[in-house]
Amino acid sequence: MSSWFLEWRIEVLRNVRNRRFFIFTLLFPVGFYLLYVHLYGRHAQVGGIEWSKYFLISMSVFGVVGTGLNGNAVRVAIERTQGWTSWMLTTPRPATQAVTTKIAANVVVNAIAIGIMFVVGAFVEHVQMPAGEWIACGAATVFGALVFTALGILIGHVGGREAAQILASIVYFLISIAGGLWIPIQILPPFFQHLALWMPTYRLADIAWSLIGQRTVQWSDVAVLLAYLIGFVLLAAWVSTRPREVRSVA
Amino acid sequence: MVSTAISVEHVSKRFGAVHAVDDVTFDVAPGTIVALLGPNGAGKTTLISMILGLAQPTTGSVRVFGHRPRDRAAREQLGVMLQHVTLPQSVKVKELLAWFRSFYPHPLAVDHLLQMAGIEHLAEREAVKLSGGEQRRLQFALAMAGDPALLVLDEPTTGMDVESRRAFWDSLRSFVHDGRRTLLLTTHHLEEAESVADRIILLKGGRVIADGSLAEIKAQAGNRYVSFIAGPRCSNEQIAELPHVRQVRYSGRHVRIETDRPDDVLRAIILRDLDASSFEVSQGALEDAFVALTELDDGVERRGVSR
Repeated sequence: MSSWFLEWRIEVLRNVRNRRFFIFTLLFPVGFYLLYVHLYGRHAQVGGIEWSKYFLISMSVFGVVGTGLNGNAVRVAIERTQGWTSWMLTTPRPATQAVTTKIAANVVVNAIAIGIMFVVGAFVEHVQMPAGEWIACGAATVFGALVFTALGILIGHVGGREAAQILASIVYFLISIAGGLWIPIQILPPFFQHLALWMPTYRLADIAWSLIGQRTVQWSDVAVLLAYLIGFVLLAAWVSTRPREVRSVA
Repeated sequence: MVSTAISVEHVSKRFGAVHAVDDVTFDVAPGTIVALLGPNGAGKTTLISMILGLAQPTTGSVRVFGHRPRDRAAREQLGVMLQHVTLPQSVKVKELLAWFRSFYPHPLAVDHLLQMAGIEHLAEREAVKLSGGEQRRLQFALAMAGDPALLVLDEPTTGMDVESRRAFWDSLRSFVHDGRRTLLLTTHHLEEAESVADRIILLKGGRVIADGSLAEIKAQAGNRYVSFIAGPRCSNEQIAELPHVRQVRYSGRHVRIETDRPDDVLRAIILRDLDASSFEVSQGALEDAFVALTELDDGVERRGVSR
């Protein structure tokens, strides 16, 4: 097996074995979904979609935000500040391998998370959609979630382990709430409706909602997501190559 | 074959006004075991960082087997143990080994690596859950994964107990001392350096203050010791009155005299018929030379300032 695939496999395993993954990516979204799906009656319409479908998308996006932020931020921070990254620099490992394997592993982990959410939706709450919609929604969410992978890696470059953990948790909850994943923006005051339009969380979910609601996917959704993705990647690249020579006294 | 494993030429590293490393030059021949020693803050870690390509010299150049340290060709021949490394979470020992092996063109077998580090029984365990000493041994196995021609070990025995330290050096000796590998190490345990190193480079204040074989270093320190067991009729005054005595250390009845002329001290003891037995003349341990040479350097600095 090539070095890249081996590292990718290990990164996937590291995610799956992690307790934080279980809590933030599976337990929270699935738990909230089952708790709140009956809140407005499952046949209530939100944004032209049945609430049980609408909220399934909300919680799926909430799950992948969790994977991207909580997994990556802390891991990157530890590797960067506690010797591992330096050590790896002394090996012949290609410079880009660390970040490309992490991103590719996140795609797999997101697919697992979305898969589990959809299974819960379909079999526990009897959400029904044509196969094409399931697949389109799933794929959009899995790949759109790369924005949060990039954000997680960026946060991991900002500070040490504690700082990364705190910052990742704050951002995780803030962008989830502000993006209308917990409470649909249709019932929020106008200020929050406008705020949501600036959130990558809302924009990603809106792509999936459009696919379900037979609406055309809005270019503005794709554009805002792409802008965030490019912004986060550039920032992370800039932060990670900043000269940072700390004098160590042996 | 390249004639030098490591070549350090007029290397300096400044952090603001501080000279962490100040015009250091040395070559290391392949197959040599070199101990880089010095008091805290001497610049050992900074120098090693530059040899590993983790830091850039302010001036001067470093080559590893003729390559720049950041070149892949250099890194393929390099195995490293850094001082403080947190291993990645949720990864098993054998997975880490497979991971490291995958970086190198001619890696050593996993079983061989496990056995070399004495961690065969830990292969299925999660790496971060091992004890400090076990993690250190695992890191040694990882450093050896690529069958390196140059092994750089920065304080390799930190966190190990006495027993694992001894086992570590034993295995290191058998796997490194075959003349194929070059080894550069730092350690706070001077007796460890003394037992493995062919060559000692002593660093202080960022400069090389001594460089040579163990015997040469001890000779440069110029210390000679006359030791004996003092009998009941031998008084401290009699010992203090001996010629050429620089310092006397008593441990129970055991007396150790530091002198630059051991023959004259011995002759005086015999001629004055002191109550003494079990004579021994030595150059002392590396630690004595280390202390003498670093203090000597302090003296030079002080004189330089007062002038």
